[in-house]
Amino acid sequence: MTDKELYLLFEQSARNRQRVGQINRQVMRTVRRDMRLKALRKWAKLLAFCFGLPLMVIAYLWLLKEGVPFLPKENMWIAFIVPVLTLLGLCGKFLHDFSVEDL
Amino acid sequence: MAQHPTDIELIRQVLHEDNARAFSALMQRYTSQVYGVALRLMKDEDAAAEVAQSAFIQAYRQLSSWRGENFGAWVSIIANHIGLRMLENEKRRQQVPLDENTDLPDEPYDERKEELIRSLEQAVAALPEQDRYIIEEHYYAGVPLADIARKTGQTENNIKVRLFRIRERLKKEMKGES
Repeated sequence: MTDKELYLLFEQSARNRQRVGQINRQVMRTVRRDMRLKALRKWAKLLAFCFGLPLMVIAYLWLLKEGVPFLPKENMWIAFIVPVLTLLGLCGKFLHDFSVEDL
Repeated sequence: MAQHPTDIELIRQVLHEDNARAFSALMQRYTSQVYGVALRLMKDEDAAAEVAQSAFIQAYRQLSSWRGENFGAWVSIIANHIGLRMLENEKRRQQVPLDENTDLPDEPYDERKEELIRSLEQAVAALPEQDRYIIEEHYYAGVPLADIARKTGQTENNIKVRLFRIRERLKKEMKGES
């Protein structure tokens, strides 16, 4: 092998290194973006858990307070049972999926 | 001396601590290998880089499904799947008549040359630390010999002679390998 051939191999090897460096940088950019999104989702979940559920209960109670005087007496139980069941279902699902590790 | 963390430790850090640096360290270990696999398959540098990149991103997103096998081999398998899919799509695309926009590789892939580069890199890695430093600085970082001489506290002539000897050694070792 001549010096020139060796030099060309060094040149190609340096190019490969550059390429590998570029791959690393590109991948890490995506990985960091994914990690930021994941962290954001965790916070959103935490906020929804802490404020979303109480807010729903408050909203339901407020609607009930405002709506009860206008409801016919025979339909009153629907106003209580359906939202309560829906809310319980939602809470159950939320608690089931909830994990401290996610926080 | 600080011990290098194992692949498993790094993966654990990525999964449980969202440690981006751990994934970066993991990648540094295997990018050349995965890129090599992709290059052998795609026979084109740009396409190989794209495949290697996609493979690592997919590996990161599916890291929880990693079952403890060799990480480099695992990512290489992913790269192989992605590469084959890309080639399949390319083949399908080429069934349509070629037009002006068709990309053709600038330089054809040469398996023998890639093999030589790999053995050169291995030979460089096996050099004594100071010799490796001179090679890294001069051939990879493009530092002039005068600057290397200044940094190492030697004369330029000394570095030239040393470089000559290193080159001869590398040639000999590569010849022995081939």
